[in-house]
Amino acid sequence: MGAYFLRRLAIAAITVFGVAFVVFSAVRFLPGDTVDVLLQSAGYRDIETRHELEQALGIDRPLLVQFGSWVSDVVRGEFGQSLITQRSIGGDLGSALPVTLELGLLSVAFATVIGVPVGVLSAVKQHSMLDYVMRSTSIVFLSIPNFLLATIIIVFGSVWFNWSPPLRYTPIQDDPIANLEQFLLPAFLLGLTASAGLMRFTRTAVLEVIRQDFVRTARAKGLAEYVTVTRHVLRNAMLPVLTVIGIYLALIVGGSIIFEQIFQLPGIGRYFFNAVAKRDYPGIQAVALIYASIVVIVNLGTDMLYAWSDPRIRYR
Amino acid sequence: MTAAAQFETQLVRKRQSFWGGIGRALVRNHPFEFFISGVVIVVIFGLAILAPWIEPAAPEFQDARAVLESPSFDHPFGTDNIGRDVFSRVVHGARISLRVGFASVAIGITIATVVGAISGYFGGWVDMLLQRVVDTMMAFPSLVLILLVVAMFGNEERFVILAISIFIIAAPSRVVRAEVLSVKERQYIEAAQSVGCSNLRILGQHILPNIVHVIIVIASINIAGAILVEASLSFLGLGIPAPAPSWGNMISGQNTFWLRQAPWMLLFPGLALSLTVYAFNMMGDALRDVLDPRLRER
Repeated sequence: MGAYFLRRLAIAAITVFGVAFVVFSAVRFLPGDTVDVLLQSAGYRDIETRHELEQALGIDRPLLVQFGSWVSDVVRGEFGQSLITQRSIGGDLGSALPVTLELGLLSVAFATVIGVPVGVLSAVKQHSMLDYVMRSTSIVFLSIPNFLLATIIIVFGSVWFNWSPPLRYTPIQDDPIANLEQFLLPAFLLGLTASAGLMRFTRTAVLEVIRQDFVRTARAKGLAEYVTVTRHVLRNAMLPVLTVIGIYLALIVGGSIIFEQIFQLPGIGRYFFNAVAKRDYPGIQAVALIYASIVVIVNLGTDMLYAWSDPRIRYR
Repeated sequence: MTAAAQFETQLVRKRQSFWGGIGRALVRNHPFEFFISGVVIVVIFGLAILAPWIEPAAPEFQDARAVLESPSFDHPFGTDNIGRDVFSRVVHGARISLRVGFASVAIGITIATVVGAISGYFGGWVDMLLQRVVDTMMAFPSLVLILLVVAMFGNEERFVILAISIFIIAAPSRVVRAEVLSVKERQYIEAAQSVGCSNLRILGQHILPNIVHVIIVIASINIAGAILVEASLSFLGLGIPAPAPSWGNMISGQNTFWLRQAPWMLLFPGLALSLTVYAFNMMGDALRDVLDPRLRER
């Protein structure tokens, strides 16, 4: 287990480093660089101001030198400051990250509560009308984009019920009820799409177990179907489902950009969107690094969970 | 006919074409899915191809006398807030969606196949290196990678296609690699190697034909995804630039004020998008079932 863990950890570290380098080089190819944006807003145009500014921002040095100093800053927990707002990126992201995580966790909770039971039911009643209806419904929910649903709800909510989502974000420590109300709809819609995928995965996982010999034995010795399913089938089928739930969390956290835009939630997705729009290098780098770290950590966690429960994996 | 020839016709089964076989299996095992998704796909393709002939007005033509008109005989899907015909925009949007969907899947899956095949076939440090690159690509949440590429190059259609194809590469290349790993241990590969076939010949003539069914399945599943991603990008205002009639642009929440007064501006492109994605999802699902049951639900 130890050796396996170390190997996975090394690969995870390489991946994060790779992401950091790719993003770092990529943002420097963005057309219309920050200096131009800053100069235009300040009204300076001459070449000397430009050089001064570049020097002050530290973007006149060679790429590798810049990368090295950025990495050493990040390792010490310093994300630097935004080129546009001059605010500390670490501080801004510190307040944005909880928003995105709350949205992600709530969505995954919705997805799990809807997707897993329906998936189990669908598998247990395989080939029944119920199974067929649920499977068809899941493809429908996979096909209707959730941003379309969100827009429809916002538009018709205001037409029919005179309701529209709040424009200002309420932090959870100020007013937990208002905060939850604000998150409920976006989290539900994000979770709905994820639940469709999760339902299909759960169904397959349960079907794989339900065909095995020990389930037949359990049935043969006269166990009630309910007991067979809960004690024998689910216990074996839930592990892959659990890991997929982890992967969905990473997917939703990374895919929440649209929903943070629609529902005006100041999470890291919105921060990233604005940073890309304004060519704010340090901001883009920091958020991309955080995203990648979340994905890599979740993957590492699910790998470990698998290896811990199934020793065969460790020795591949 | 001589006796020998008669005997031969009895023994030799009529050769089935690859696509014919798939088609028959689809009709036999999934008649409902095949029929529904087939009809939708044919209709969407038909509308996209015929767009210039069936449009009531050019998609970008603004008729100041017909603003926010509800659906009528002249404007089947109504008009939007600056007097553009929604039906024309929806059928031209089909062109954009299909173009972006198919082009990015073609590029993405081709690269994924090449990368996966090289990685799986040669193994060793080549594999190690390529897989770390794939790891890196997979560590980016989907929209983040695409946004970066679009921000780097711009949001013309070809760059949107490029961005989506880059996003597609990673996961399918893993699947192709795994398939190649299992196929390359077969005896006919050993036979080919022992008679001195070049690596390129083995990959192209012996391995590729044996994994092509998997590639078809992945490609068909990814088309729905690519169309959705393009719509999300345009919805955010970072996809195909605004006057072009992309479905994502038309749904975009930026003009909810107008959408409230003229819901058809939102509902028809939304319906077109959902139906198209639904049809490709269902077709991909049926294909997967027929061609590669092992890939199910992965």
